[in-house]
Amino acid sequence: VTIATAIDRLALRDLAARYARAVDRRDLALVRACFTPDCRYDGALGRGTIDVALTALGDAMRRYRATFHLVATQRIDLGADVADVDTYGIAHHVLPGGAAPRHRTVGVRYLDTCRRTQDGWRIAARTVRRLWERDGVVPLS
Amino acid sequence: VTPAELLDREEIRDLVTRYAHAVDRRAWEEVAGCFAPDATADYGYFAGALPDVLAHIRAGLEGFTTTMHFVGNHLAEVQGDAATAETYALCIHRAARGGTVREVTVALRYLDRLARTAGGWRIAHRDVAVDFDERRETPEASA
Repeated sequence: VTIATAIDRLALRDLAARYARAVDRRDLALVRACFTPDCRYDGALGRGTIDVALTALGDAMRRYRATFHLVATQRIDLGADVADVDTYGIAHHVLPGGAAPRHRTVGVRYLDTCRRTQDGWRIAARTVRRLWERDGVVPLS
Repeated sequence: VTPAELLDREEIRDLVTRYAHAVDRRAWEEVAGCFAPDATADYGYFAGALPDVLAHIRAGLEGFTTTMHFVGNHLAEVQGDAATAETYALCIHRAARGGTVREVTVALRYLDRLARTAGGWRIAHRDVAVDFDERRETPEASA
């Protein structure tokens, strides 16, 4: 690993965490900043351009009391100005439900093609695969 | 990112991860060593200076049979000798008693201000933001 490679890998790891932070903060502008304007998207939020996904995401965010996108295992295949990044995460969604809010947990895999742009690394194509999901309730403390 | 920042980022990640590892091992001196001596923390329901914070953490965690502070997303920004970091952790606390297991799961973010000291990076202030928690009781699994 060279220093330059390590710096790129850190930036790509940050990109996955920045996406999670932006979604959990419900900040659509920050979410958008993770993608190239022409990014292709295929996943639970729809299929097409990133604009399609962002519109769906804005609607989805309003349904939840809280979300917590925990990302961990990541494989990064780094090229010169392009990288394939495969990130595993567990997305927690808490839905309002009176005394016992529902808690949906989704095991998810983000398959990204990232591109080096003038503003740093951005996601240029994303496929999201749901690996499993589970519903429960959150007993209030 | 410069090579120097890369090293700082690595050290800061190591520090935050070491904290999580140390609390689960109940290595209280290692836990204390993650903080600057004049550090403060705010857990929302509790805030104070380092000695009180350490006593609070210890008293809270020793009530459980096992804990797991599972650390994920970590972002940090370094500016000279100061830094800020946000770290996601899913914290699972289990207490087995009389055939049942009480399990408390807390999804939280550590929001840290860090300082570069002669001994390396240390946490100068920690805010703990809890995104949700979950409590349940289950029968103890037979071995």
